[in-house]
Amino acid sequence: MVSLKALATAAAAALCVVGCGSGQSSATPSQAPGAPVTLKIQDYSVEQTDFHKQVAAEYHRLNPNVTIEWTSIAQVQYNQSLPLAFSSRQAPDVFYWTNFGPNAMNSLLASGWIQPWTTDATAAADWEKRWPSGSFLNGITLKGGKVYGFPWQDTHYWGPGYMYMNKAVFQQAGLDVSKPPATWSQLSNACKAIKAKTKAYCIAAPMKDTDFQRLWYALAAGRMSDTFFDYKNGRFSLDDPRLVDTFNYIEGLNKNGYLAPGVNDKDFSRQQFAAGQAGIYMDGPWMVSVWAQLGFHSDGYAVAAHPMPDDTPRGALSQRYSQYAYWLSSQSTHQAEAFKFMRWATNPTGFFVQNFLKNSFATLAFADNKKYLTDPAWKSVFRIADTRAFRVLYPEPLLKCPGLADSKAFTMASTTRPNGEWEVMVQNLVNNRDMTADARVLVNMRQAAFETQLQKEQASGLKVSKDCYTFAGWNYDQDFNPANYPKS
Amino acid sequence: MAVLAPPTAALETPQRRAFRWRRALRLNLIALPLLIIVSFVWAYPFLWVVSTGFKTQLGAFTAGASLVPHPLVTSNFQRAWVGAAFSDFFANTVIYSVSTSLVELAKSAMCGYVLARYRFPGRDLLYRLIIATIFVPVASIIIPQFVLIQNLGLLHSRLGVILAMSGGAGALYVLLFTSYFEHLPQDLFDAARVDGANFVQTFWLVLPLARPIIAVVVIFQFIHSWNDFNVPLIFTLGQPSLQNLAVGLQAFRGSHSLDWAGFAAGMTISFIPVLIVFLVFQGYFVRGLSGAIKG
Amino acid sequence: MARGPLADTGRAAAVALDERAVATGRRIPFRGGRDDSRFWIPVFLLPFLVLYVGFTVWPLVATIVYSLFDWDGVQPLTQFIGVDNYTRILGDPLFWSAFRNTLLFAVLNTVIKLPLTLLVAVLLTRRWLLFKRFFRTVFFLPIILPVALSGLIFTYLLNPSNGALNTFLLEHGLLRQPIDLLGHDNTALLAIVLISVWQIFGQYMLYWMAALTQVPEELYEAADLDGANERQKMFHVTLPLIRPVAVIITLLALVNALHVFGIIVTLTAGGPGRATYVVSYFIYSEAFQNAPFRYGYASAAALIFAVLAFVFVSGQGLLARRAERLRQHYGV
Repeated sequence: MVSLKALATAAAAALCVVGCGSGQSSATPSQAPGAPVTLKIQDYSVEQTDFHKQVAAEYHRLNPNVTIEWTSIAQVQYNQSLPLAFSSRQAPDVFYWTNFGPNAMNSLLASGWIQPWTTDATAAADWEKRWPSGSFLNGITLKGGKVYGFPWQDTHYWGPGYMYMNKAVFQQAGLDVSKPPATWSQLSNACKAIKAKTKAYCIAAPMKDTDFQRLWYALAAGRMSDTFFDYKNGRFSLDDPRLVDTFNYIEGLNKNGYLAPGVNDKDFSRQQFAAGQAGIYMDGPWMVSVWAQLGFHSDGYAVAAHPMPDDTPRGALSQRYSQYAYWLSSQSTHQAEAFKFMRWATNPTGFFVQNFLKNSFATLAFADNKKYLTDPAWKSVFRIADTRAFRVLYPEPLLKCPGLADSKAFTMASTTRPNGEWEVMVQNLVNNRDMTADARVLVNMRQAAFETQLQKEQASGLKVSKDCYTFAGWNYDQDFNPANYPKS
Repeated sequence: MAVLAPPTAALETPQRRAFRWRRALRLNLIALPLLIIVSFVWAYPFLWVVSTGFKTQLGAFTAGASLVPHPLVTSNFQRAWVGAAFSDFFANTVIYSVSTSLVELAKSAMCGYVLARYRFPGRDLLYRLIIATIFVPVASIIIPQFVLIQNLGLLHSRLGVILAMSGGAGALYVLLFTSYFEHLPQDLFDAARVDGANFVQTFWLVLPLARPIIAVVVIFQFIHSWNDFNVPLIFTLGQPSLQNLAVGLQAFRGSHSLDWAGFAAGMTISFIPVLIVFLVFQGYFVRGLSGAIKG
Repeated sequence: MARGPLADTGRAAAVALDERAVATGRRIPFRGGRDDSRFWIPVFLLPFLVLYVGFTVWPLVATIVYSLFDWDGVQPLTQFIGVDNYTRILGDPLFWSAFRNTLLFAVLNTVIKLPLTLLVAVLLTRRWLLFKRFFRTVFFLPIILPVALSGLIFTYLLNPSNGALNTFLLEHGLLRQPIDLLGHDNTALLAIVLISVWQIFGQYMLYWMAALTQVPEELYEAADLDGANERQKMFHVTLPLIRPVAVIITLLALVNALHVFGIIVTLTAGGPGRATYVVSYFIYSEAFQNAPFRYGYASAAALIFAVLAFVFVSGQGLLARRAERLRQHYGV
């Protein structure tokens, strides 16, 4: 038998091998200008691969000593392989990371993965002017005055909550896409007409994995919010009567056969819509380019805002400070070159922006999106999002209590059973049951973990509490006024 | 009682042969139609993938049960081969699959042989340990494997990938070889000893008898390596020049959509060598130890 | 109970081979002749042992260590929490529900695939069958598909909106309403069992074919002479002779079925809701789906599962042996 001593030695060896392996050293100064440099960029925007090649070619033309190697892999694999790349010191120069939302910078700093884009304060200030003022916040993109992150995607237009209508199906059902259903009851009536007069299904609603979010966010926001955390009262909220009410409405649609059958994934539902087998699909503006790839263009569909509940209470979609995308890795030795590239790319009227937007990949926080996104579908998107109370700015706990930068409570509570909300809802939806009981169990689990951890952190001296997450004076369909954050 | 005595040729009369032919015909008439129907249903999903490679994205979606592409396009294959740099991935995949099959074959045959026929201190313990570790899910031990390869300095190399891919599930191959070698008749070994063969020569003599197991190991390891995705991904981080087809095919999974038709075309291309390997190694499943026992 | 003409032949053959097994080197150390085995045995064991220790044993030890920590796989290993991971998992109703699903899946899967694949393997090694190579290839095809792809394909084929299966059944009047196999708790698991049997069919067919090569041709011919039909040949010649390998194949089948993962991810993602959650999917979803990873938690779950699987399979083995003894006792 293996002796205890041998086991202990093995354990110690295991600890050392792993623990000793993830050292973090600061970046060495950049090489002399003019020396050939390769910038490695990694992300999971696989559909942009051709665009990346164009960018690399163009930048190389302008800067012959710089070669850009931009690789994209699928998201799930990216999340797995990036941490390993860091721990084995093979990290790229620039990487894409949007996990942890507004707390991304703090967690990346804690892992030792990032360095500031530039240490030149003047260059940084000059660069920041490309964004609307207030985009760079201490604790979210800045730390100690240095710029670690910058807003990449715009968060006003880009998000869930748009309703797409298939023109052919609507026409067949005798409905007019220029008068889209604006309330829940109008939606039900439209579905009744589609079911009666056409062979198509009314709503293509995916339900596999987390894809139920496509339909859910749009409708839940109308009643309360598209987040599972109630920032007004500081608690997880799946069992809130308003969300339960939304769920019951969707269950009613399902019982009447208005949702396309099958527990499908989003690719399937999207193709259903594009093929004219469903009349309505709800999602975000990325669908414009997705459907273009399927050969389905805006002459075949129309965009409208999601329907709202007939009565009060009402809510709105959320806009957060959380679309930071590209970061400069701490293992990069090309800080100057990387910053130069990023400055070139974020030129609001430059090559990068023009071609990026031409492909409709996303809306960018530093560009004049309306100038370059001219497709009629985009025009509708802009019009809808600019409507009052369509998407409102949410309060950010991190700005109320900067001590939260070191807090793990919220992350812990939300990543235990990460898809719990979707599982509870889909399980009850396919079985036509009431979800309140299951929701309550899940909420209690999250809330208990959340509050216990907060108390532990408070006891150890951190300036955090549940109050940091409570914004009693705010309401779900209001923009939160950043002036209301405590002055620091 | 001479139950094992083969029927002598003298009994093979014309009448017997005719009886056999008639019997074979009768059985085939029953079995073949059944098998053909089952085969079609069985192969249907596979045929569906191949035909999807020839369809447009929307065409595939609306086709229902039909296997006929309408309209028929070949752009998917072009996109898969050229756009996804298939030829490079292809070469890597071949290298990995062949190498890991050979490594697995060698190590499990040698180990199985020794385990089957020799007593030595620790033999039983080793055998039981091998069986016990079959129960551990391989996916959850990949990080320590990564750390090991990293510490060996093999992270940027094909050798590292090959080691990682052949280090994992060899246990079951060893069990198969052990069982097979255990049940070979002692006469063989006695005869070899009489002929003055040493250890290695005996092994070399006996190995071809395990042709069915060799075929099993090669086929399975080849297919497993061909389609293996997780291990090559982790061990070829951000190094497209080392990646195999399975990892490369992920290029069809965009962050917002799945290029289904391109994916199907890519898979169809990647099926072909695997099919060839199977067709080649099929022949080793000839029943009987004919030739083994010299009368 | 009447015994067919083959009972004697089969039994005698089994006895004969057993006698040979007794005489194999497995029970007697190799002596005499040029005994260079003392040198060669370690040499032959070395390649396997090196890779085995490096890639299976050491990671296993490391996994045990990790399971005692709260670790995200990236940061230094510092947060020792003892058996916290274990108590949390053992007290989690979702884990046990996943475990139940896994057991159910494994039993159904094994019970269906083993006899079927044996039957087909026997059929496809008959001398009288024509086009054997073609049929073997057809039955083998599904295994070439990567599991991820199989899942996607069947999502399309089984879809109630426009999937091939429903379209076919509706057009031929066998159904009036489309059936949503993957959308209901009970049928989802059954559908996955059947699909995974289809997928893995070729593998076990090959295992059986390899096992069948240990049955000498002569025995079948002797049986023919004795006038036995196919069924009798199966039960009195084939089955007794392949029994040792069959035990291993059954073990492998059960263990592989317990580790089902890929098909769940792509076909149902544990759904609808949680109806098809299995233990490997539980580990994946809890530990790897969202950053930060909970690698310590995953390690603990994997170890618990390995132990439970071991207990389950050994239990099966004990039951089987007890049944065998009873059978022999009663001369059945």
